[in-house]
Amino acid sequence: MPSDQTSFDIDDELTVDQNLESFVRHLKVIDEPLADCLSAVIQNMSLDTEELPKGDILRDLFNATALKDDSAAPSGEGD
Amino acid sequence: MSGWYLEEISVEGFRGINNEGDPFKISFKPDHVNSVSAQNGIGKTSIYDAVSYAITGGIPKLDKLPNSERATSYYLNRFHPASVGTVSLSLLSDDGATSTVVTVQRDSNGNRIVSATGGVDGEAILSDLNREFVLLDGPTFQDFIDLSPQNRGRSFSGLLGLKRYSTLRQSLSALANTTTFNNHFRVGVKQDTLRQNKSRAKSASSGLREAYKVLTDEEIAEGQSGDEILAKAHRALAEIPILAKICEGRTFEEVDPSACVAAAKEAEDSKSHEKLAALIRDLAALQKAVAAVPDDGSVTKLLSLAKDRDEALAKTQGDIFQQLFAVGKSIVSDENWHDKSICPACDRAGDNSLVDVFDEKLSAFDSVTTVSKQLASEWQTGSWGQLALLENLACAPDEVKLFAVHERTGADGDISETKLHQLVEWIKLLAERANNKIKELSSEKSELESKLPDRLTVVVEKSEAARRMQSELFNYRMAKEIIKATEDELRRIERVRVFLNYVKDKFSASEAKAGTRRLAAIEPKMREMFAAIMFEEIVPALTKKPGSEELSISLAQFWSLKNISARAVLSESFRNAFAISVYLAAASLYGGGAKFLILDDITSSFDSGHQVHLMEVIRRQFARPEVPDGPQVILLSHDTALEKLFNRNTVDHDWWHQSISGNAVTSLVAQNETSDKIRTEIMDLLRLGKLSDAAYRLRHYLEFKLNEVISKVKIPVPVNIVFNDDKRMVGNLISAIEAAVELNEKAGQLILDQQQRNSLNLTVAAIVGNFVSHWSTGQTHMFTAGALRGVVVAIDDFAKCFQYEKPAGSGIFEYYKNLSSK
Repeated sequence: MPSDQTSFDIDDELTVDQNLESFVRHLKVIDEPLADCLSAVIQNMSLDTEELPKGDILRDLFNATALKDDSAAPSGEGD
Repeated sequence: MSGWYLEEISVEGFRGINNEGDPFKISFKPDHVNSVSAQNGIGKTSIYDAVSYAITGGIPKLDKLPNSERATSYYLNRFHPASVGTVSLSLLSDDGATSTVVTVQRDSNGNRIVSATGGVDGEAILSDLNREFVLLDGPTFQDFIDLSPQNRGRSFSGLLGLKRYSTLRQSLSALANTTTFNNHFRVGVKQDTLRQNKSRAKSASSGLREAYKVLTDEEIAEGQSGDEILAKAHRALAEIPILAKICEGRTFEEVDPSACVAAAKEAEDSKSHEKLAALIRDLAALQKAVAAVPDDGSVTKLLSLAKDRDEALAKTQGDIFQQLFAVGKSIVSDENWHDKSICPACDRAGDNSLVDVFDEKLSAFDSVTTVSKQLASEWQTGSWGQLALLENLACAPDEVKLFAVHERTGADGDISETKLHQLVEWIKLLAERANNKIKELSSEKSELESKLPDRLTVVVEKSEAARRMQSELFNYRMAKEIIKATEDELRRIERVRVFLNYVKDKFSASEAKAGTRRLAAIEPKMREMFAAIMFEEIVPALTKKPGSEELSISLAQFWSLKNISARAVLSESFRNAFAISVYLAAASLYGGGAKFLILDDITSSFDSGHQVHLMEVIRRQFARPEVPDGPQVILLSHDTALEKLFNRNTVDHDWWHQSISGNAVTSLVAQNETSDKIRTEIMDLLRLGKLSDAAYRLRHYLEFKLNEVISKVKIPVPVNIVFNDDKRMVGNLISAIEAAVELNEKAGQLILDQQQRNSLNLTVAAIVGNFVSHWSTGQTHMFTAGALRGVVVAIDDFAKCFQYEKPAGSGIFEYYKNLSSK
């Protein structure tokens, strides 16, 4: 479970895009590779323009876990 | 620059606007309240629809029609020959620095093309303008009141300027949705794969140990490495003299057990050895199958779980009832279902809340799911999934393979107690047969071994053990490889799941806080506006459920009562006032790129008094120029009483009123800047003998000119003139002008020269005698083309009575400043 090391709140003085950028910065503290991946689509996800390509986004997030997966430990043989 | 004002709309070939080759144009003033009047069927709402299409890409009332009505074919004007609709919006930035014209075209195939002047991004501007309060009409306000709390909340997030946040939250929820997520990553399949391979690895490990013991006469020691095990197994084979050559230069796994058996056959009676080898293989298989039979403890536990599941299932009454209870709970939980003890199906009242009853009923379905999961887990733990081998070995060809029949339902945890009993009995029977067979084969094996030399018997036995060890080793490694890959994949999937859930929860919480904050800001302003429109002891309230999208409306005060349902007690006009107040309050606080609002016939449910109140709220509390930071308001109305109010307001310098005439077949004309065009049209219609159409336009032309004189020369108009009867409007305006002229004349300060004064009497007589008197009494059959042409000229001369040439001899005329000065 990610630790909530920084806080995020929508700032009424900022534009939507600025708030989303701030949110992505917050997410990078939680999981940088996945936040980087999500930052590429988060603007589009906030626009009700077309159907969300959920499959593509989930696939890209999964692939991003391979870039630097510190938590993955090799499992040994034996029963 | 933070937004755009609307300076002009130009439309051709769209909805009710034909205007072939000569687009309908109507201009607006950013620093005025703008109003446009038109009688029903003229095309006023077509302007609204055209702007709706330009900004949003759709026309809601058409888009809601069923496909059978081919709504999309009604976007374009049916009489326009080019079958192309064009809508242009002339926009001015709120700092006055930038002007642009964004043009949207639609062809008969529904294709949309957006362009803009000045090198700006037209699509981006239109997207910026696309806010919930830019285009408002009666249905929008009705919907706001009638929507479910959840849909109202979704709609409201747009009003609060939170639409993109709301869309993002919904997108994140869709991504993190458990079902969608698990289906995408096939989590269930991967977990099954993991379970199956763990079971396979366990089984292979057990077989490996048994084979090792036969081959080496030793148990695998605790902590013994894989290399040591293989080396010892190899040594056990290689130390048999007739196998030494076969093992030489090969690792244990490279040694061919069949070659070993063949070597033994060569050394002795080959047929008997082949048979012995087959017996050993069959025995090993049977022993493995019997070893997989679940123990009594697992059988008892599984039967008990199946019984529990049957009982839980019996309480649920099936899927249909699950749906019924869920719907029933949804209805009874709704804020508008005031008596929670009344059943929505039969209208009978019980003693207690039905919400609790539905919760109890629905919890029974949860119990089924819980027990099913326990059953599936025990099926896996107790090795029930490994019984296929036993069934394949011990089932007669003509018997039904009961395990194969129930394997899927057992693995899913859906098997009933009765079927499980049958399966247990069947497994017992199979195990008994297998054990009998083992006895039979063991006896046969012993007999055969006794006939063969000991040495060679051992060779065959150890060769077969080596074969089995190799096979189990391969199975073990394969299973372990799959386990590792699957666990790695599931760990990465879990990382994505945890991340997405965090993103969703964090953003939802933040959006909810922003919504609550903004709602708190809107409510006082909304109440202030509502009070100024309705002037009653009624206080509307908005409530947002914490952690939910739902927005409820109510009345904090309804005369002496508190916390009353708004939908239950408010009449249509009060409902509309509620919604209008919410929208205007939201727009004034959280407006975006659109600095204008177009309001189409929003006063239909109001009486005259409340119409005036609403207009005053818009003018004094909401719109430019009275509220400098407020939006530019454009009012569209067919209401004749309201039109008179608009006309009267035009006397002041903060209101700009226009009217339009025409129809969908011919063309629409705005009467302000194109009065010459109307004049030409009147003359054309008279030439064609269309007296009725000409008279209709003549009345607009006359009204326009009278209003122009009143506005330019600042002639006071009585307040009650705006509520007078439609047909007497013109006469009242003329009377007001005449009274003002006489007053100034008596005071000795009239600016009109004598010729103008005389002309005024003559022109008024011509206008009244030849037109107004017939028009006001409905005697339009009295009109003749010649008389109406004379009226047009008289109207022009009437206006000239209030103008002077500036500078003298220039031929350019201006209105007097007022009736006493230039």
